[in-house]
Formats: sequence, C-alpha cells, structure tokens
Amino acid sequence: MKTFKIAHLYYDLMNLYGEHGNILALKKHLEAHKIKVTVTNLSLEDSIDFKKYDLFYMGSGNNESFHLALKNLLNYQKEIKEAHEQNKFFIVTGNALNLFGTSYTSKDNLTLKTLGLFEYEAYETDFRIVGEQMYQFKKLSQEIIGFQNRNSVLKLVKEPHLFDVLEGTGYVPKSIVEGITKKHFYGTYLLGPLLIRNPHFNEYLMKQICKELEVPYQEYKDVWEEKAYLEYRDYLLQEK
Amino acid sequence: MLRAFQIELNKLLTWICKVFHKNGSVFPGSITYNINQKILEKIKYPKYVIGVTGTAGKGTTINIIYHILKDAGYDVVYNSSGSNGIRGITTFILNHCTITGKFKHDVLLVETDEKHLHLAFRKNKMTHLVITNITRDQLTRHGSPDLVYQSIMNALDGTTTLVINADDPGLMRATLEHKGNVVTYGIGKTKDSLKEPLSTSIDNAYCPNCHHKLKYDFYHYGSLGSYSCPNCFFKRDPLDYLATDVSLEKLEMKVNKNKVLIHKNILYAAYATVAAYALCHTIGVPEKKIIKSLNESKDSGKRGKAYQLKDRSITVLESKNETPLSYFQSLQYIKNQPNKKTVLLGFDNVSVRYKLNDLSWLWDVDFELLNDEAITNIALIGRFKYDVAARLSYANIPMEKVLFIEDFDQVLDILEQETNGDIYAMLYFDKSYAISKKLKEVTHENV
Repeated sequence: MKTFKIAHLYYDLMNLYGEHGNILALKKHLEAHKIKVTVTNLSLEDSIDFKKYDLFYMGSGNNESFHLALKNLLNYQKEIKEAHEQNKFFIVTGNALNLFGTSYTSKDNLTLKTLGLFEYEAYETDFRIVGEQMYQFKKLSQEIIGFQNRNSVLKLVKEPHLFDVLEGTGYVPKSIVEGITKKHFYGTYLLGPLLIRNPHFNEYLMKQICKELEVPYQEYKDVWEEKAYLEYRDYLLQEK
Repeated sequence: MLRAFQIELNKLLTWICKVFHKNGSVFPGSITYNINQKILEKIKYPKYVIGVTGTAGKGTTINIIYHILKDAGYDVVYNSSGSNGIRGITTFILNHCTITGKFKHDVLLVETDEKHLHLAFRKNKMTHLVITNITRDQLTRHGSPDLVYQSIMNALDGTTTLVINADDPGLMRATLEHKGNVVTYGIGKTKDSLKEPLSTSIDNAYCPNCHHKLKYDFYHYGSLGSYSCPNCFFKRDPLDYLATDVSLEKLEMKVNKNKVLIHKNILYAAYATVAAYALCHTIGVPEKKIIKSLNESKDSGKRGKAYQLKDRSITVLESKNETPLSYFQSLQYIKNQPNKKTVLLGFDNVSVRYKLNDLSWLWDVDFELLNDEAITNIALIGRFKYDVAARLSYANIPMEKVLFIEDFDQVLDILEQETNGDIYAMLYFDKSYAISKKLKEVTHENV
C-alpha cells in the first residue's frame, strides 16, 4: 500500500471558513482509493521540510494571520519552487492564493513581495466580494460550486486559470476566469470547503494522485457528498 | 427643534405600532434615524451609559445586569426587545428622553450589535462596555472575527471602561490597545475543561503582542481558556473577577469566593453571571447586593421551550447557524441531557439577514459530539439536509441513525413513529417557529 503525505500549512493561522474540511475530504477519498495517508499540521514554529511531503494544503486567514504566514513562507521560497517543479501537489484556497504571485499590495498602498512562484499580482480591496459561485472546470462536465468571502483581487495574471466563471466573481469583479493552475498547483478563492462540496473535483485530483503514485484509479462516490452537491447545485440553478 | 421633533415622532410612531399590535422596536427609530443620523449625538446622557456587546450571550448578560441594578435600587432601563441595531437603539433611547433631549433614567443599559456600536456612540461615548466574546460568527456579514473586534474598538475612546471576558485571548488584546480602564473576568478550570482544543480551527492561537504560540493550561471551548505567552508578559491571569467551582449540575459557582447561582445549566450562563457581577461591582454596587440579587432570581434553569408529544418530551432550541461555538454549546447541552434521545436539525435558510447560503461554518462545528450511544436518531429537515448529512458522516456518526424528513407537515408523525427517546429540535427561526406553532396546536406547553 502506497503512502501519501499531506502537509497542512499554517493550520492554526490560515483556517477560517471551515477549510480544514478540505483535509478531511482528501483523506477520506485517498483512503477510499486504498492509499495510506498521513496528515502533518505545520505552522510558524516548525521547520518545514518540503521534501518530505506529497501535497501541501493552505486555506484562508485574517489579515494578521496572512501577514504572519507570508513572512514565514518567504523562508522557503526556493524549496517551494523545487517542490512545485517536482510535480508535488499544492491545493490553495481563499486568500492563501495571494501568497503565490509576485506581490501583495495593501489598501494603504504598501507593496510586499510574495513567493513569486507565479506571475500575478494581488491587491487588497476596500470592498468585500461575498457570494455563491458557480464555475466550470474544463476537464469536468459537472459545475463547480462554492462561496467566496474575500477582500482582494488578482491582476496582471499571466498564468493558466483554473475555472471559468458561470455565475459569480473571477480575479476581479467582472472577470470571467478564476483560480490558477499549473502542473499540480490548484489555487482558488473558492470556499465551501471546495473538496467537500465538489466531490467530482476531489476525484479529479485523486486521478492525478493515482497517476503520480502509479496505482490504478477507480472512481469513488460518497453518497452524502453527491446528494449534497446535486441538491445545492440545483438550488443555485433555480435561483439564477 | 429638529431634536424635539424627532423625539416626539419616535414616541408617536411607537404608540401607533402599539395600537395596531405591531412590533415597534425598530420601525420608529428607522424613520427618525433617517431624518437625521446625528440624533443620538444630541442626547444628554446620564452618569452611566453601559453597553453590552459580543458574539454570543449579550441578551442573557444584559438581563442579569438589569435585574441586579434594579434590585440594588438603580433607576435603569434597557432594550429588552433585543433590537440591538442602530435603528432599534434609536427607538429605545428616544422613547426614554424628555422633549429637551435629556435621558430620563440614571442608567442607560443597552445591548448593541458589534458592528453598530460606532454608529450609536459616535460622539457621546459609553462609560462602560461589557464584551462577552468575539468568535466566528456570520462571516458572510462580518468577514472575519478580527474585523468585528476592530469595529468595536473604533467606537471607544479612553473614557470608556471595558469589562471583558479575558478567557478569550482575542479580546484580551484590548489590554494592549485600549487607552481606558480594562476590567477582566473569566472562569477557572471545570470538570469539562479540555487539555487540547477540540479542533485545530481556532482563532487567536498566537500572542497578539509578540506572535509566539500561546500555551494553555486548559480550554473551555474554542480558544477560550487559560493561556499565557511563553515569550512575553501577555497572559490571562490574574483576573479581576474569577468564577471558580462551577457546577452546572448544582447550578452554582463562586465569584471571588462568594457562592452565586447560575440560571441555566450551560457554561455561557456562568459567563453571563460573572460578567454581570464584574460590571455591577465596577460601577459600585456592593457585592452583598449583587449576590443577593443573583441568588434570589427565579429563572427556569432550562434551555429552549419544552412541550409534550404524547409520552415524550420535546424541547425546541434555536439553531445558531453560522456561529460555530454557540451551535457547539447547544449540541453539548443536548448531549449532556439524561435519557435516550432523538435530535432534529435543520434550516431552509442559513440566515434571516441575507439570502446567501454559506455552509462552510458546518465544518467549524464539532458535530462529533452527536456520535453518542444515547442519541438513537438524528432527523434532518430543510433545504440543506444533505449537506448536514455529509458533515455527520464525516463525524463518523452511523448513518443508519439518520433519517430525512422531506415533508414538513409530517414532521411530528415521523418523529412519533420512527424515532425514540426525548426529542431535541434544534432548528433555525424559519423552522423553529413553525414547529412550535404545530406543537401548540397538538399539545399543551409544558412549562
């Protein structure tokens, strides 16, 4: 049995909006695919060895947490780049997405250097973007659902997007694309938790993980996640 | 001139609402506030202007404060309607003013929404403010808890004495930032205290002063507990008012070594009691009078409304959607009740304030508590019942215990026929009102 090692980055800082549910969803689905899983919670006071893990997850935090995480992450700039190039998985939700571009500019016009893994700039806004979202992921026929609650936008994005916006908000309020994906990096502002609310997207990830681990893939469906997804999607379609 | 007009109009509108049996706690203030938003700046306030705010426990806390002050002989009024937004507060304050704009009582006691304090007290500041806690709550509206804290702090200046729950490190931050006096209260270790937090998703894990990780002696729930920073001076203790020997079974505890009664068998009632004690003692009520008032009060001691469905008791509790720690405490209350039981959960809408349905908060509630042998059935209703089911399945609850009620008209029949034990219905307003109405039709209220 193969083992898959998950690192939950800044679990005690970047943890708003029930996002540890994403970790639970990854674990449940990986185990359903007969892959052994370890989850390691890591934060400011740990020294993080990016060589040791197969997947890195990071969620949303408040303003202070965001800045603490940024300062700490900059110590690992080189290691993160290497891990990404080695096809390791990164799942990044909420305002953690703002950490992986080239810069973050706050409301008072202070620009901070961010990880620089990708080419885009993040800007804090003086308004919040809050609401239900419906997207399309080009490799899946079923829509992606979820929620957004953020006060930032992405500009000057020179990277492939993750989702097409069907209803809701993209990089900026009128943008028709959202999220960043490159190799096995999947970053989105979408909350939900993303992987609980979209079991088909979680299964898409499972397929990629199985490929990397060289284990056969057979689709797994959790009855409650599926029912919840369909009911909510239909409710959203009805509302629109 | 305008002030007098607004005051008289407010009173007239309140009277009209009363005559037509309409809820007049918000409407008059919304009219007068819209005429001139600075109306409250023109009121001559009494010696004590006491606010009560925070995520949870405002209503319980202010009710206890009111009774202590009343029993101690103070001339005090408060907004008992619970309408705690700027328009409700405007209605309440103007109704207690003379035509010249003088507040008629010695103590103005006002429950205030966290985000409305800075609107209600723009120029005239509160003399005292009790803050019960600031935890994750309605994030669709609030964004994140730190923004709520900032909004409260923006309503204050150095003349306000804060009375804060020091078990909440996010609130204890005020001792670093507030220019006026800060009085602290908290609860000592109980038999239910935890060594580790229930979930990793807590707020305020780090010291607000130097950002080292806080060390805890124990947790009550969430990030509330006894903590200290291993690197600097920031810590909970010593407290000005510490509740010890808390016994929710005997409904009693000690505050500064004096025995006082708690009026409900849940920890938030103990918090409300020690908060009221701290506030009242701070403004000069002798401890003897506080203790006498607390110990003579005749509150029911039970949570929710109790009915009888044939030979089974059914308790209707409010579901605190989007406030994970309040929701958690309700689950804990249900779990701690004796006998076998059935739990009914559900809602059609996440909020009454907005149409958006964010369900992420379900994952910040420890539904694992319901994984209990004494809970024989969990019935789910409402639009998002399968999302709740998914959450329950992740809490490792055996799903054969879970049943789904599609048709609300059949809820009582299904509960009667397909479930066992005492029934605890934890429903959001949209459903709890309807079920209470049904229960009143088929049975009698069992007070």
